[in-house]
Amino acid sequence: MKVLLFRVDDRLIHGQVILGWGRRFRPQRLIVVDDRIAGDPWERELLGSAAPPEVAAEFLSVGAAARALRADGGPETAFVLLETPRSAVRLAEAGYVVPELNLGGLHREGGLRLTAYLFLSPDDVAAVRALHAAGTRVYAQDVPDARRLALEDLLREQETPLRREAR
Amino acid sequence: MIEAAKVAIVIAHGSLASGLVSAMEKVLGPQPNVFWLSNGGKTPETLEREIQALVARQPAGSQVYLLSDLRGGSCGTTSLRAARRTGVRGVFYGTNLALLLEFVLHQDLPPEAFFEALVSKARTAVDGVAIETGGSAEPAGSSR
Repeated sequence: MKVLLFRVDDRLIHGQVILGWGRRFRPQRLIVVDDRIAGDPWERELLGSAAPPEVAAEFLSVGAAARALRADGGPETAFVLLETPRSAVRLAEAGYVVPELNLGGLHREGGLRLTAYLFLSPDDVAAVRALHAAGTRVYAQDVPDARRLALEDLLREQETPLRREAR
Repeated sequence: MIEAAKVAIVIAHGSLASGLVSAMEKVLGPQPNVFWLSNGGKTPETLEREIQALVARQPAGSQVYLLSDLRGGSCGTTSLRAARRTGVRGVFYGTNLALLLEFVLHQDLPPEAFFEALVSKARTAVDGVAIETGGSAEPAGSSR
């Protein structure tokens, strides 16, 4: 399996993924990695119905996804979708380090605003830092034609005023 | 038999929902049973909570319908998720102005006929006219 996009998006399968990214890169599979959804038939059916008919939607637990990603060298193309950055950390803990992670939509109430579509909780920030440490390049980009922004830079910009205030 | 009041909650991306309600009210006047929500800047959970709160505010016996924009989009998916957990009577996808106008105008129809009438009206309202360079315009799909 060739993963064309690893994406964190709290909406998982939705318009930006199907039309924005999907029409551009034409994945054959959409793989949602989430323990809760993998164990909930109703959620699987609901999200599966959001996928276009020509694209297979699959729902894997973190453990099953890590095994599949480590083992599979097949020719099929896929997008891997995660609800939070923490899921990517759990994938790394399970033995698969995501090389590049797109953050395309996180809307935490009261979260740290990095872009118009990224509002991170303290745990999201901690997860992003852990991913950096593990070697994952994390970037913000909601749609393919938008600018790709390194999360490291966005977080540094947020921290700078705080450091200045502390002095 | 007089049916209970039908309530519409239009749920769409960006300012589409407010725009549709505003356009409908330009045609039919203010409608106390039509509400709108946007998904802008919200998690699916937040949007779902807002839908549930709005449904809970409706008088007992109301028939609440969710009118979402894109099937497979986050508004449509969240609407269906919210509908499952509330007493919502139905979810529409692909809401356009024609569907919303019919919603208000067909308050008296029973639920099955209501659904059919609205979906049919919304579908037939989508049409187009191909303009050929140097030629005359005729409705798309027509044949003579």
